[in-house]
Amino acid sequence: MYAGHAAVALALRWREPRLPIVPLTLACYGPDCVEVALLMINPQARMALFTHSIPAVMISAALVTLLWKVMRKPGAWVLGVAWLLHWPADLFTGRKPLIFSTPTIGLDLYQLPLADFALEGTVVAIGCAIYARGVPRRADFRRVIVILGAALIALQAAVDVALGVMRNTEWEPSLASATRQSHLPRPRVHGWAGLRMRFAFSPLTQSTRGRDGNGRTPGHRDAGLPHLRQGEVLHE
Amino acid sequence: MSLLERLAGFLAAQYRWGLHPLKLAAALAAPVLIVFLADRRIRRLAAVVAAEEERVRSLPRIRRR
Repeated sequence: MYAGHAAVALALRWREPRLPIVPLTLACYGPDCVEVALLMINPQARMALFTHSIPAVMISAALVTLLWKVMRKPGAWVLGVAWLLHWPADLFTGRKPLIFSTPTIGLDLYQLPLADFALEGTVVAIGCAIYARGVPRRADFRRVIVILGAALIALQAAVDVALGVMRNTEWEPSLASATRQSHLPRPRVHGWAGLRMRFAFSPLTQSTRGRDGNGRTPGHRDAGLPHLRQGEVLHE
Repeated sequence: MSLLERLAGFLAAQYRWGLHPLKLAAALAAPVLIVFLADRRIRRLAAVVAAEEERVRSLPRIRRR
């Protein structure tokens, strides 16, 4: 998740107004910040295990909470919760390790940028609405919050355009196992058609097989008649 | 060429050049900066509103004097 983490920070800010927004937002992006820092040391390494696995997230959240408590600043538990919420938020958009580097689980919506944008836009709207409950009901406050939400959604849109350009793998959601074997060759279907096929929302017909080419299904009245399209002439 | 196509081309070029950790850091800093600026604006507005309310609350005292 990208802009959604900032929305989580906005929502948590309403619970603890004394907590400064920057540490809270950084805690929401905590595992990502640690991963980027580790990547700067070794750009080739895969650091998700040390930053995004459940034990890593729990240990780092506990450390951050303890550090904030030692500094005698308010809202240490909110900071820890913000760090912990990173993992379930990422579960929707990517595939994250549980305990070891495999298996990785998640809905992997980064491979469906439109669905990712819809989800994160909704999360941003909800986060801004919760944040708005903590500020006076005045037009000038509301204007700032609307601009904030619009900026976050625009940022998310840019990232989803980038994901759409960069996408080079098929959508592979997984909530159970690391690998999935199919006994049939799967057709590569993009976008919402693929989403419907994955979840079997409705039977999907990709071809016009069974139709006469004009969108009309041949019925019993056509039995024995030559199959002609409109405008065609039968030459006997 | 539409703006979206230009943006897609720019981002594709970024991807071809490689996702350097500094670019990732910049991408992480962007929402943090947006949230910080908006929250600071909200706090300043709240301070102005509080000062205004305090002034209004103090008006009867001035009249009493």
